[in-house]
Amino acid sequence: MDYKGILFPVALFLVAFYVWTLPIQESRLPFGEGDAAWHFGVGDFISSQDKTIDRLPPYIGYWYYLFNPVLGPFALEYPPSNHVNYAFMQAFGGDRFASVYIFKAITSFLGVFSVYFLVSRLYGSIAGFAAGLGLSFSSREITTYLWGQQPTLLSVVIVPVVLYSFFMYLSSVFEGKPRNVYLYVTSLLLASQYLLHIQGVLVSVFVMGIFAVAMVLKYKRVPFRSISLVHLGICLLMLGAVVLPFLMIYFGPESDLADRGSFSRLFSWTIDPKLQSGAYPDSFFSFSSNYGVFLLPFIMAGVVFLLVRRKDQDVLMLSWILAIYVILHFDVFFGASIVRVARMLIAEPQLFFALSAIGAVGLAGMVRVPGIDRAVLRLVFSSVLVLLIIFTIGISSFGFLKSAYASDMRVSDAELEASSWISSNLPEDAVIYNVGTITYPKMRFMHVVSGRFTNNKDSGFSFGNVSLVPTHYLFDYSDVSRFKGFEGRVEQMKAFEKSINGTVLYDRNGIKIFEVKNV
Amino acid sequence: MFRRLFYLSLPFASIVFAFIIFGSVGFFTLVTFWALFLLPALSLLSRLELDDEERFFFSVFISLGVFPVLVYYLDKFVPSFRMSAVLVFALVVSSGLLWLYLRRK
Repeated sequence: MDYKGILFPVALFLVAFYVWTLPIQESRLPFGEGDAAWHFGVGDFISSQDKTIDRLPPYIGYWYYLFNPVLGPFALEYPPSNHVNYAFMQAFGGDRFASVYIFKAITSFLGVFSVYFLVSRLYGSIAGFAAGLGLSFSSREITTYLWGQQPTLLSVVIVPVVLYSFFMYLSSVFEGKPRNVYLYVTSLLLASQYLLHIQGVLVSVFVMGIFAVAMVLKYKRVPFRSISLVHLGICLLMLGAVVLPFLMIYFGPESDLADRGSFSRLFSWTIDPKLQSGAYPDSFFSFSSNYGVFLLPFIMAGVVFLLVRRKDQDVLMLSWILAIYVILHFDVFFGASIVRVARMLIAEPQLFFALSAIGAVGLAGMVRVPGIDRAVLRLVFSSVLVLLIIFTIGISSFGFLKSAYASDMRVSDAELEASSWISSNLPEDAVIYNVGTITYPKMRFMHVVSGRFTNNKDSGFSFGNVSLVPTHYLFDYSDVSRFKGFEGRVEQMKAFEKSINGTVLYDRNGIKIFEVKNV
Repeated sequence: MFRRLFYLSLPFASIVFAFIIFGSVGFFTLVTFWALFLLPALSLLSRLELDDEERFFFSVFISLGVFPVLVYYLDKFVPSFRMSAVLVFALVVSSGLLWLYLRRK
């Protein structure tokens, strides 16, 4: 290792940390969609109780009450790792919100390092730096992080490290000198992915499987003698011990199989946004929005380089391409719903930025310029790629993060104060009917901070055979009074307020909380 | 010396940078991050036939999923989550150091 092995990771971290924490630098109020509030709430509960949990508290459990018919209501919906990690940050980091959000930013941009690690080990540190830098500005990953689907993202970002470890093991097996330490590390990394979210495991296992088959085809043999069944058996036992206790968390919910996708989908790489009926914005699927058109020639150069050279590490990368293609067409091969398949798109940026960096150094290897050393050419091509990344997607991602969830779109100080009051003053089984908070995510953050089940008219209070009766009403005039055009809604809220005939318990900063007596 | 510089550089730089941007919250959050998600696994991987860079990156990515689950299981027997976290940290680090000591002997 030389100075680049220290300088590059530090530089990547500082850039990614500064850029991805911009939303928290602007304001330390929590942000995200409903998922963000849900995940925050579970970790928050663990930290506040100073105890890990096997069942969700009712105020969170009612949220997706019918989610897991096998384990029943209030079952954990994820293995404990993510939420215990949030609780660590609250317990030892010093702030209820900022510590968790700094942690979420770091673990969301860790893909920068996993890609840097894989590419630098297999293709050189300059290629690794370019790949990692590209991923620092990956708008698809940034979008997923901002929404709050961080567990999925964290599981997927581990994929390149798993692939590296498996590559080291399998290539040593084919050389006849098996290095079983990498088999154990691969198992531990897969275990870590599984405990964070099963989606990452799926990607890893697909790539590993295709790579193993590709290596057999390349070497025209299966190296049975080099594979230690004892070590393999120990690793499988280890994985089993990790997988089995949480299996029904993933497989208990009803599957959302759908009709098979159209055969014509096989002729395109990605998903037509029209097929997923608004679950994601169209830009989520667009190549130019996510990568910039300039990246395509580098990616194609990378693919050509890999196909021409076909060393073991190139076979790994080609296997990764094929695996992502299969995963993005699960609906055609296996009948998965297109919305589920769309979620797998977060596995694509790592591959594309890795390919583009390999293309940059590979191009230098294929081009001959008299009087110029190949190492210099690699540096020039990589520098061109880095500059293009910075001045295109870098600038746009910076602006995107800086303006993400502007303070009006986050839960406000007044709303947090009211939620804290509820937490301290209302009984644990209180059911809050929220009127007036203008966005669903804001209501959800109020819900988890208060520690009391909260819903509004749209989300309702009936789930399966359970009907909750609101015991308290929260009228949030603080939101509607801040924006123009809500005068009509204010009048409706006041009329509704009069009709509930409740006793006012709290009246501050435009928020009122009433207790109602239910007969 | 270079090896120590490698292991320390990224945590140190990140802690200082986080302190500059976020003050004490940034400092304590990053210290917690590296303490829980690097040190324990690194102490166990340090005697395996891996190089420094592999140990560093493998440690972080393994710890993020595995360390909290160890705390989850220990917490079934210990009355406090915070205590469980400290105990798991201490147990794993001391196991690593013990293994290091035994191998040297």
